Amino acid sequence: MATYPQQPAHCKLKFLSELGEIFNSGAYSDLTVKAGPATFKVHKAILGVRTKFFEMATREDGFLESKDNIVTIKEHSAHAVWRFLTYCYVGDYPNAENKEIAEDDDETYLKHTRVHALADMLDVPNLKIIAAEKLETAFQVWDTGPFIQCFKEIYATTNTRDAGIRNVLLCAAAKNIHSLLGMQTFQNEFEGYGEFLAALLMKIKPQINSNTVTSRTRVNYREFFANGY
Amino acid sequence: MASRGPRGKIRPPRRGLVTDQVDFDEVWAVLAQSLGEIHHKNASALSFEALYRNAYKLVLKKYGDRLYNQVGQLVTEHLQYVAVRDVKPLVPSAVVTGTVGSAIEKRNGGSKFLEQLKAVWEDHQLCMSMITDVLMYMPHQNRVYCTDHKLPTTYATGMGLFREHILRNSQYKIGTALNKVILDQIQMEREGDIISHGPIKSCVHMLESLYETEEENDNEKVYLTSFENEFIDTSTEFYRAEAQKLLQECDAATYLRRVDKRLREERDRCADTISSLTAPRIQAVVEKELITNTIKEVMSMDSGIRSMLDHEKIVDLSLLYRLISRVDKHKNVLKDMACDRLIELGRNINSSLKTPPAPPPPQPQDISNPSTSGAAAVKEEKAASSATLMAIKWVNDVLALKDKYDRIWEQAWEKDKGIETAITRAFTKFINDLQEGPEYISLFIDHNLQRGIKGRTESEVDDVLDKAVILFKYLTDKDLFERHYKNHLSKRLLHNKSLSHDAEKQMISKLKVEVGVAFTSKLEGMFKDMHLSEEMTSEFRRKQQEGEALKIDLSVNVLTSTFWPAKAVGIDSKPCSYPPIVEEAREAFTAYYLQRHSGRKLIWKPNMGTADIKVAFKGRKHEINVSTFAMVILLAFNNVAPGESLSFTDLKSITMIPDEDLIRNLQSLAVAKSTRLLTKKPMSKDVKPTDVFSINESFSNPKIRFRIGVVALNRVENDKEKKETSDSVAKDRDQQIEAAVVRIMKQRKTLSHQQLVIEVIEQLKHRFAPDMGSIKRRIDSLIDREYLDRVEGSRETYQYLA
Repeated sequence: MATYPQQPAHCKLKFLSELGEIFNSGAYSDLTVKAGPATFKVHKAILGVRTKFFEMATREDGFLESKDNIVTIKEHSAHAVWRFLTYCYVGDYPNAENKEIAEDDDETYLKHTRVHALADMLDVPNLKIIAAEKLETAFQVWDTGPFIQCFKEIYATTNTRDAGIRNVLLCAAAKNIHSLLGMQTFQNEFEGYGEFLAALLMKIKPQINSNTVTSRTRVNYREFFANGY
Repeated sequence: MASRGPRGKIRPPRRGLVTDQVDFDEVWAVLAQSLGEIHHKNASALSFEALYRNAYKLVLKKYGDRLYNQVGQLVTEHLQYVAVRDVKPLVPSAVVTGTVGSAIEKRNGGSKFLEQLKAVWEDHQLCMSMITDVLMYMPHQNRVYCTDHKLPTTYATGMGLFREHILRNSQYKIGTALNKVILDQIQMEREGDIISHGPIKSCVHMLESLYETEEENDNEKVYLTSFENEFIDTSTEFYRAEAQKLLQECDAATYLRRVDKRLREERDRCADTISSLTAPRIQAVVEKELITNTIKEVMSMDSGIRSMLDHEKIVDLSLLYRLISRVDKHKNVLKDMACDRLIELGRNINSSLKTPPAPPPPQPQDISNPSTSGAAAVKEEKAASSATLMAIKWVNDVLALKDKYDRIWEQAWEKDKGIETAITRAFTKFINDLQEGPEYISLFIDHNLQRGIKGRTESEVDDVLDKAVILFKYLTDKDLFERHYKNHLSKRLLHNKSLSHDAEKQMISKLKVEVGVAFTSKLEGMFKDMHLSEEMTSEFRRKQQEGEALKIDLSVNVLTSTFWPAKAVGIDSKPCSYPPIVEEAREAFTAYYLQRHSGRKLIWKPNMGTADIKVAFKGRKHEINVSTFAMVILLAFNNVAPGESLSFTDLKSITMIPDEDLIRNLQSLAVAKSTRLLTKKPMSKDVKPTDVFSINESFSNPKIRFRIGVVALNRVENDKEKKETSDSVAKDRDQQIEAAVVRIMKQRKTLSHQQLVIEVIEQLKHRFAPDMGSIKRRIDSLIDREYLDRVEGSRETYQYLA
């Protein structure tokens, strides 16, 4: 009986990443996805594993999209769409910009925010987790201005049921409470986000008690998800 | 306007999706218009992405409930509009006004209505699936809804709205009309019209896809709640009337075929017209109305089961079986009626024996009167052999009946076990009805082993014997059979009439297989006796030749008294005084035998033996085979001068033969014309004590060798013998019951009366069926003789006394 040598883990990963090569190669493509200036040649079968959206859009004799199998995604950045599609092929998406896209990449924090928003709309919960994790990693390099913008986008594209990514914001804010409070415009920026501020206060309560607010406070984000949120 | 970035690229949107507040009314207005387009089949002009995104935004901003209600409202309005525009004009007027148009009108009108409803339904389904796709994000949220608010999914809601506003439309009664149209069409088809199945199937499919509630429980399909019962009710009515019609119009076979056809029609209807869900129920209706309620009446028709059985209508009987199997797994009606007829036929066979078509053989007149005439003896012999023929006819008739029912059972009744048992019961019943059954079966075997199997191959013989065994198995009184069989066998053996020893042994081994060694050991003993006797005779002769040779050849059959029937060996020994030449041989053998087996007792039975004698009349020599008694009588004349005579009394004192045998033998020798070796004075047919006999010098017979027999054939018993037999059977049975009781009690020590009786019956079932009364009497007798005792305190329990 023939025995097959077991493949080492990195071989499997390579195997998977090779799947990404047919993404946008045009080979056997049966669907075109457009976003901003970008056009992607994709495969319904592969996307269909992750989301029903494209299938529904192009069902025979149905909507406009079914005529020539082109789906245009509006109100989302070209890079977010690109990252979303990449995920559908290989299970992850790169942080680096795609130079071939004739649209600037989203800013550092917003990259992930926007992938998250798209993943939510198209109902891909696993991608939401990945995006939130990547955002958490990105917050390790702190920049107060973009944080505020990112914060506002997340609050606009999620609701209270989406506790995962909101909690990432909360932890990052707690960790960098000094630089946030150091902002002149703090009060203006956070007007109307009472819910968040209240949670933030509870988060930094131990630091206030010990009167030594360090910048080391950090909640293990993975642990948070593992608890079933 | 997007401005160019540093590398000539477009800037990404500064703000992502929906950062502004969403105005519900504004977005809904756009959505509502688009959904309207979907309803008007203009979806291809709409961007799915835009609709989806708008719906998503509303849900994201927590307008989900409002959206849900608005969509419901929109679908409702559309359906109400459709009901009026598309369906109402085609609702058959008959449903509303109650008038019935012509069949063609009805069919065409109905079809149009069904087609339209089907189209409306398909449109609705398509629209609802598109709307559901657009609102995909809502059911996704609904997962939470479902547990929190118990809200049905968009699609289920849409289906519910269709049920309420189309089917149950309070104004137009569309659902009622639908039922009526479908049922009308089915009725037309049942009456032989051709209808189109497609539209009905589509509408039924619609009813199957709709539910009473949005929980969509499988047992609450609208098909089941609104249609099926009505269908079952009208069908029941139809088939009830149909049953009456068929009963009047058809013969039984046609009836069965019509039922079969109806069952197939309904099965097909469930497959291609209505739902397969209904198959069990409608089958049950047809089965109840056309089989359960009426089958007995059908089977009782002149053309019913009786005629089918009598003419062996395999196809009809098979259909009957299959139809009855559907409604009763025990097939009781079939069993009962088939067996009733079987028993009736069996009893006809039995009673045809009592009134045989041939002129009835005269009953032997009072056998106890010693003055029976010679002619009567001949007649009696004739009667006996005609009774044998009757027995053979009976067995053959019964076997023919058995063969016939076997064929029917095999070919038409799928070798049904229950029916087999019932048939066996029926055979057992009528075979045991006939008192002479056991005797007849034995006679049948006797006939075959004597003559019947001549020139047949081994396997044919085997078949004949198997048939006898089949009937034997039905016998309850196997001990009676054994008794007759022993008698017949002994005569075959002693008179050397058996054709084949192999066949005899085969028969016995067949019986052994059926009822065991105990039953056949005595029969086998009889064969052993014959075998040993042969050996002994030849050894005896050898020894005699060494010494002083006897003047006659002696062959002896030594029979063990317990193996053989009482008639052959019984205590009623009939000795006679032998002439010296014979007496010498007898004594020589007795001496030889007692030397060989000391301590035994030999009883000589001259009434069972034969002798070959040589005589000469008018210079012509004859070799005649006569009975031992006849030989003794004839030898007595050797001592008488020619022309002299001997009176009856003389003969009696010389030979010492008992009166009855003397008379019988003198009848053969002096009355029967062709064998009249003696003359009697006065000439008459009776032998009287005053008669005088002398040698018939003028005797002549063309044959050199012939036989003068006395009545000794195997034949049906006469009344006296019957009484003797039954007395001795009763005695024998009593003994067997006692033996069984003692055997059981010895082993069990104490036992209740009930238990004891059960075990006794079980032990004896292969021989006969003991009746309760005799068992009880035997137990009482055993108590009297102190084999058993009642256990003190409990009257119904016995104990064994060692």
